[in-house]
Amino acid sequence: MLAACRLQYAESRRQPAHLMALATTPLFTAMFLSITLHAGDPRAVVYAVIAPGLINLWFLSLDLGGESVSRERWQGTLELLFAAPASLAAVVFGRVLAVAGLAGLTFLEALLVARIGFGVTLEIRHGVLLAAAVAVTLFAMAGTSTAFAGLLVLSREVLLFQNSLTYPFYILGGCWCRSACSPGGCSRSGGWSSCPGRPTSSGTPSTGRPSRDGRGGWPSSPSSGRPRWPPARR
Amino acid sequence: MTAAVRVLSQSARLGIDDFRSVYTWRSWLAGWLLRMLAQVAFFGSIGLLVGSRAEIGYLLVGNAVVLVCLEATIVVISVSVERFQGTLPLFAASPASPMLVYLGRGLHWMGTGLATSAVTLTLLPPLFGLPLSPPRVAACLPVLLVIAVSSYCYGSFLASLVARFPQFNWLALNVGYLAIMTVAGVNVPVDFWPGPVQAVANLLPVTHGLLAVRRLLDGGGLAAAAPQVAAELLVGAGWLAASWLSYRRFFRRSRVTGSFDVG
Repeated sequence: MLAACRLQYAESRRQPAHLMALATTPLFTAMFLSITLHAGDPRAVVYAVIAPGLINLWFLSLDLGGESVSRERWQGTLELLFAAPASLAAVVFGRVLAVAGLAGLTFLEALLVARIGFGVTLEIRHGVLLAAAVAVTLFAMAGTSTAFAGLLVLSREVLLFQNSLTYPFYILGGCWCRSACSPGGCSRSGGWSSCPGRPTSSGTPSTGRPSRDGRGGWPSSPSSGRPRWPPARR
Repeated sequence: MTAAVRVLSQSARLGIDDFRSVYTWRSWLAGWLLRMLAQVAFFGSIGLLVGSRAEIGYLLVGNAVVLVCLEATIVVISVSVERFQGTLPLFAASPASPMLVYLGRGLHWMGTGLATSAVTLTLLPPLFGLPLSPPRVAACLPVLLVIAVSSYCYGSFLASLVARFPQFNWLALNVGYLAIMTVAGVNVPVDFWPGPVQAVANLLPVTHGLLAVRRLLDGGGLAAAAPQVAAELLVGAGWLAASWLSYRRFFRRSRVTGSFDVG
């Protein structure tokens, strides 16, 4: 499993497509933060910073992990893999674990973009709990991805499935907000107030409290009266 | 001129055949279209979390319209596939202009992008309690076509760069359209960003066309939208010129250096 993990890292280092998540994370983070800051809802900032990491975790698991068996087939190494005394599942899981590790980097990247680009820092109240939650999520995603690897190898058009399984899962998986925020979910549960992070008197999301210099005091645009980037620092 | 049109249309037909080898009606509707609807719904749900009705409407319209751009820029992949298939030496030796072949290779993506965007603009806002008037949506279709053209020209420029480094195809496509989604007024108004970013946004496709669509949906007439449509066309013409020059330079260098191999 470790050998497969090392092999995947060596491959990914030389493949621009494998490192794509590192290039798209700043854009996703900027996009989500701009929406949040423009809406003037600093309590939702935590979702804006975490969502890019979750999105990239799913994307990488589906794209690189899910394709790992297919790639072996295209490279003509699948037969050798079957003939080897090592377990195929261990090899696939090792590769997928490396991919999950790569996705883990995007969480840190999003935090950096938020801090450097937008002056937004997340105060983490329960660091150990957060680290455990991220580790468990990475492990769970590695498992899911291993299952996908076995499934996608059956398809003639892997890309079609990979494409189709992105945004529907971002919604269902609650990458931004839990499914109660979808239109159907809101109507069932009594409207927008049921969404986490809505400005309520009860306070902030439980994963951590976003603290930002200049919180609540967005400088207004002269034309629209809406907040602008970068936010003012107090 | 007739020969150029013939080359373009043959190239476009090749692209359509490629597309049909991947998608059937069923897989396009249940796979691609559903995914695109989910993408816009995802951003709409962010609006539900953080915004007012106006905010939700802004996100839904912006993200529905940008789908045209997303699909038009897939020409990047079509061109890189051509490179991976090793057809460049044949193009270089043929009497037809290889630039025309590459420029026509993904024309079908404009058609599918238009369809996706129009369907999304019609179906999703009512689900979020913000129905749009069908005549107003219909009035936006010509503007969507203009956005499709300007985005395709932008995508062709990216494709001309990717023709040199095909291994960067997915990176160029994703970064290319995500940059537009970030700064071109899709999710927040362009004036949210600092001056230099606004300047870049004004040179990107979608920025002006989307503003025109918003004005039409707000009940503004043609006079309100026309300047932005003209600006969008101008931006598209600029990207077309850039891609033409870039392709010309690429083919010239390939002929001089003999570097026809992939990558």
